[in-house]
Amino acid sequence: MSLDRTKELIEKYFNGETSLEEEKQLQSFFQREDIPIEFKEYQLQFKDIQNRQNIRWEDFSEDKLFGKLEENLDQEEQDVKVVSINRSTLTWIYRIAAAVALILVGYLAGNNLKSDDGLDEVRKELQQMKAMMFDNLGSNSASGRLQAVNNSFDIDAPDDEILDALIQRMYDDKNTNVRLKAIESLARFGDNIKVKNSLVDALGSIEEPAIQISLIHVLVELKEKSAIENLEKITEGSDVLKEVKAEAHLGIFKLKDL
Amino acid sequence: MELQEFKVKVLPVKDRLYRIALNMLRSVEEAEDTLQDAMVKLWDKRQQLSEYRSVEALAVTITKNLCLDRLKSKKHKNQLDVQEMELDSGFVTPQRRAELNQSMEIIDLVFQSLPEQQRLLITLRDVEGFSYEEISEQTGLEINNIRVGLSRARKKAREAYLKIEDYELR
Repeated sequence: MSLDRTKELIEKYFNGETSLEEEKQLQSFFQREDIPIEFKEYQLQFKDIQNRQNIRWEDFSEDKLFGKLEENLDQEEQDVKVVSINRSTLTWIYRIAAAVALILVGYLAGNNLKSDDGLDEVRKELQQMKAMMFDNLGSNSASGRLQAVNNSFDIDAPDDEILDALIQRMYDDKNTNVRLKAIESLARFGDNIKVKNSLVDALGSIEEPAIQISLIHVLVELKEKSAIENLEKITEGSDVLKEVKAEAHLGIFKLKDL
Repeated sequence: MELQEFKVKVLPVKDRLYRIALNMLRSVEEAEDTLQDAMVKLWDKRQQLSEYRSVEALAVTITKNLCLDRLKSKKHKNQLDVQEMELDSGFVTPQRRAELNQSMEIIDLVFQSLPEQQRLLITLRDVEGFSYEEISEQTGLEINNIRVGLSRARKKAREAYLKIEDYELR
């Protein structure tokens, strides 16, 4: 390669215009030992390039190149395994959850049955109490019947039979104390329409002053306005005790005022 | 593609990838580490290999990108990067300079003082002998820009090498 040609190529090289072939020519030119002094200044640059071309991965091993990749692939494999374990674990969790749910349902159902038993017991108790109460109600002694009516206070939710028995005591018992106690007991169930009506009716028909006063108190307490008519009758009645009339007036006043 | 097949395809270009990484990063450890990452990426993209002219083209592209990424994060971490070192900035003491004289180390230092884009172009063209078309594919640059960039890089390198010559003559 002539010096002129070399000069030209160098110029082209620095302008980025050389072809790969021309660059090879330049490189082999600068490999020479006897480089003309005018080109010495470029020697180091081309030598460095050459040195770089000769670099090889001396202590290469596959592990150095693919180590991370293989690690990742192993990890992925493990991940897949972990996932599959997870799935079976999940099925187990479902199974256990189902089992727990079953046990829970069983327990609740059992409890329900038990509480039915409990209800039965309450009913039984009620029956016993009723039986005892009715036994006593049939008693000839006033104290026995009073005891029976008192027993009715222990019954929170009396059935019609009990209410009827109490209403009957209120009307018919020979002993005033029993009748008063019966009214007191019935008053607890004033919300019951049957009880309410019977109390109002009793006010209209019973003429015994103590009973009348007790009924007036109870009906006013229950705020039973339908009792007003019977109360007015009492106030108008000719053979009514004036104390009773006074109570009736007061009752009317209270009920109307409400 | 099986791993073995993949390896067979990649192994022929290992030296080339190694040179590129080493020229860009200067450190052997970093170069090796980057190439390991490059293999992971290349494996992930093995389905796309058919779109590239060769495994080599994709492998070079990936390696180049990883090197640039690494340099970027390194710059943030460590401002005292080799690239920032000017040969005559006083960072290299005269004594050290004497030791470095004529050694490959100082020449390497000169090369590393070039901006990374210029180092990349010189590496791909002058060291690896890729055509402009290939470099365009690898870097995404227009061929004209590659020519201009190369011209600048070669001139800049020449200045730097001349400095070494100057020291040697002194």
